[in-house]
Amino acid sequence: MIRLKNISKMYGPGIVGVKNVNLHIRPGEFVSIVGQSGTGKSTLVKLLIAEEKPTSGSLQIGGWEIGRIRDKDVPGLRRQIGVVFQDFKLLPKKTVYENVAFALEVAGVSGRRIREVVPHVLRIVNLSGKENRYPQQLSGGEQQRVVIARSLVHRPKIIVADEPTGNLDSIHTAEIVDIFKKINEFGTTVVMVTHNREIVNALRKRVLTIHAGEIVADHEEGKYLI
Amino acid sequence: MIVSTTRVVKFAFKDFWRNLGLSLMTISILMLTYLSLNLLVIVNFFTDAAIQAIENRVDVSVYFGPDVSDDRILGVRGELTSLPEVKDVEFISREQALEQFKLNHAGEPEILSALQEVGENPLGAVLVIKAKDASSYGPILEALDSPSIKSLVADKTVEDHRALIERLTTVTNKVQKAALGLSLVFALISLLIVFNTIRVAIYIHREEIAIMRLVGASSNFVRIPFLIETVMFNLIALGIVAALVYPALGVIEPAARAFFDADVGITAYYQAHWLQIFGYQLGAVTFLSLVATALSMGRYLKK
Repeated sequence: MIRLKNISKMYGPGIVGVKNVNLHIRPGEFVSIVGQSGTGKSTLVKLLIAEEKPTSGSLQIGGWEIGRIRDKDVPGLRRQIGVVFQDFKLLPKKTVYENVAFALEVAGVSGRRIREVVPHVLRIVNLSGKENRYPQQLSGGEQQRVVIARSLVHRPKIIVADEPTGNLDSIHTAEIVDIFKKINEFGTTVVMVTHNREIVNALRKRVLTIHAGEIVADHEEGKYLI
Repeated sequence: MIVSTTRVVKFAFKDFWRNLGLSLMTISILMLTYLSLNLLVIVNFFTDAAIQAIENRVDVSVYFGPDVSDDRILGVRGELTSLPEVKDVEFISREQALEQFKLNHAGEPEILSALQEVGENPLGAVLVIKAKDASSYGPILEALDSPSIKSLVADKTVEDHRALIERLTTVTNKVQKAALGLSLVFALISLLIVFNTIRVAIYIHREEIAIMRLVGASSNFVRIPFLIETVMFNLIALGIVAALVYPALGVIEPAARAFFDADVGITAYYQAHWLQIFGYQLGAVTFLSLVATALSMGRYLKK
């Protein structure tokens, strides 16, 4: 599913993003990646979604080799990976419905199929009735749920979430984590970067600890150690 | 393919309305560009009209002796007409010259009585030569100095005009060069304004572009709506400018007629050449806007 062999990402001489990362994430796993700020967690996410290319090593995700992926194939990869960010990354001039539908529209999905899928995923994230609102008319938790709905429309095998609860209060955090757990129970692999100790400890799932660009701990049913 | 084409067009229209403030700002800048270009067209037209008006008032009159036959003068006329620099040669017969002389001196009885004393018509026929432009008078003057013509000529206004013609040629050349220089400066300013306006517009959209890429939009899917919007901006801007220019021409026309003491026909010129005038402007500015859009988007599409 996701396999990293000796992956390094350098941003210039002596500026390390990640260093010699070896990792295998199996289908259906729920993996939390923890670590202090600036340790390379977000670099790892950027590598997984091909926003960055590795300096050396091999990164396979699905059938793609990220180091050799062509620019024109990147959209295809991103349609197979659901991505959720701390800062939501919603299109401000599009409504909730349009934001979710956009991910299908760019893939050339028919209008009929879009009209079936979008209300369905909005129901999953409990946003039915808010289709015509714009992002700025929603709370942080609701915005993040729109993002999750958008990431689900292609029925991705992998969801990558970079600090998805970073901007949310505890109630909305619990809601979002519950949604991820539900998605994972249906067989989707979830890779979540987080700072939130309570979430990680409550999940009792695999935890990778990253420090100075390297994976320093990898525990099944792990805990937040830092 | 059809689904995607319909979608990108739809997105372009939606973006246009939802970013109305930015759309109107871009259109207003493009309008200034189109206004500048049309101002340039009008200035160039009037520069040409002014030069034409002056050139039309300059001619070279060649006076033949009374003993030179009309046949020989018409032969000279044919010779001069065949010169590529000559626009027109008017033949004034001895009789017409006399009539004209009498008319010109109708209020001067001494001159008319002197003419009567002479008895027969003392005036020779005249050829009035008009050149195609001021710089063409040089070769015409040289042709008049050829021995076959020179021997027939009693008098000519050539010498009187030579200095004027030379000065006129210098002035018209300078005016045309200045107009060309002004055009280039205007064009350059317009291009820079358009280029930077589009860059700012795309910069404002940079996060949106990144998000589109993030959810799997291909470069073309992101790029084409912006390009369509750019074409829309240009069409609207030029449409408004054309709607402003025509009434303005109606105001300028009478003033120009009074100034040049002739019908310069700026409105007629626009009506006859509107497709070229607006077509070239639209083509050039839209092309530049599209290049600016594509270049500005390039860096945001890489991620």
